[in-house]
Order: sequence, then C-alpha cells, then structure tokens
Amino acid sequence: MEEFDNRLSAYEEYLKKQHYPYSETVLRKELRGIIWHTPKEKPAPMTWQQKPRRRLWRSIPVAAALLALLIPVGFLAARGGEDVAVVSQGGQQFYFLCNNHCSPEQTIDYFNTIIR
Amino acid sequence: MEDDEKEFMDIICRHRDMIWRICSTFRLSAAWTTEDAFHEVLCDLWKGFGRFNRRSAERTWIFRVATNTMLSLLRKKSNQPTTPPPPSAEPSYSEEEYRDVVDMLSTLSEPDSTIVRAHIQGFSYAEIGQMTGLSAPAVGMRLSRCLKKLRKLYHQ
Repeated sequence: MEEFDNRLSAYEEYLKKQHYPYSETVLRKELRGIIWHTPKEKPAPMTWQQKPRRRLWRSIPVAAALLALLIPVGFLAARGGEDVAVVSQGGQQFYFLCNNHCSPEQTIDYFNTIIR
Repeated sequence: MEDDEKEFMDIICRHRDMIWRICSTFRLSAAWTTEDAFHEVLCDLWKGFGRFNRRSAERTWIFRVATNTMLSLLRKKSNQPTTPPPPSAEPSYSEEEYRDVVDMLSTLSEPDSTIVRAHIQGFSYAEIGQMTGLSAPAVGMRLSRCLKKLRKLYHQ
C-alpha cells in the first residue's frame, strides 16, 4: 500500500516543479488574441435582491391600486358611520354623506319616499 | 485596454503555472498537446470571466473552470483540436514517467477525479468543498475512499 502513496507523493512533487514553459510576454500575447477573438459571455442575470430599483418599480402599480381602493373606504370610515346613509337601489349601493341638518335615517326616508 | 481585460490578464499571469499543471494531469488523445488544452482553458476562462463574481477565490474559480473544460475535452477526445499547435511548441517535460498515475486518475468518476486532482494541486479540504459543494469532512471521507480505490488498482 505504501508503494502507491510514495508514487502519488512523487507525482505531486513532480507536478509542483512544472511551470508554464513560456514567458509572461508570450502568455499576454496569446491572451490578447483570445480576448480579441472570443466573445465574453454575458454576466449571470441579476437576482431580485440585486435589483432593488426594478423591484420598487414593479410594486408601484400595486401600491397605487391599493391606495385607490383604500382612500374612499378610509374616508367613509373616518366619517364615523352614523353620518353615512347607505341605500340599495337596483343591485347598487349608494352612499350619502349626511350633514348636521339631515340624519342618515332622514336621508333614507327622503330617498325612499321622494326619489323612488 | 479595458479594465476587465487587464484584470483578466493579470489573474491568468498569476496562476499560469497552476493552469498548466491542471492541463497536464489529464491525458487526452494524441492529437492534443498540453498547450492545446491550455489554450482551450484560457478561452473558457475568458468566456466565463463576466460570470466570475469574485465571491470565490481566484484559484478556486480557475481550478473549477479548467477542470470542467478538461473533462469536457476528455468526453470528446476523439475530436481534433480547433487550432493547430504553433511550430515552436515543444513539450517541455515528459509525463511518460507518471503516465500510470494519470491513467489511474481517469478511471475514477468525474467528481472523484476532480477531488483527487484538487488534492494533488494542493487545495485544502475546505477549498475543494467550495468547488464541489461538499462539506470539508465529506471531502476528506470521499478522498480517502478514492485513494483506497486507487491503491487497490495500483496493486492489481
């Protein structure tokens, strides 16, 4: 068994002594030729983590849609509920904002008796 | 000259001996000289230089690319080299003396031969682990298994 290990160690030693047989100038010349003739592959595509701007850009339409939905609901909710009269007509819901002169009940009565 | 071209040339000049050694641990068909293989490896290194993200060490990256290139050449070793060797190319050393070792390495599977070759080139277990995706203890275990197999083969 030792024979093989000695052989492998000798091979390792032999390899360590191997060097590129030409000068650096020759190598650089060859590299210039390779660079000139060989197109470099494109860099690997970036991941989401590497593209914070694109990620932000994509989230803008989502954020806008959410805001468009939340602003009217939030506005109505902020009014406190009792100031809003909700009336259903033909499958649609109508929201009436009530002021100090007219309560929601009065608004609904008004809608039911006069408008309908 | 662009910065990355200069950087590439500097990296290759620093590691030229290692690339040469890696090429010489493979035995291709008679049509291929170590110099042809060296040229192929340089082409592949340049092609992949844009993908080299500097997270791994230069020599680890070079070893991985060079080994993959050599393994793919080995798979199609009946092919002729794409460029004829320059007239000045003369073998600077004779590998005949160690041909048996080189031949034995080629009997291993590709991942196993890569581990042994990296070990012969002086890479640590951790570095080999980085290249192969194994943990350092797993590299040690696999290497000892490969050496055991080679020892058996040597004494047959």
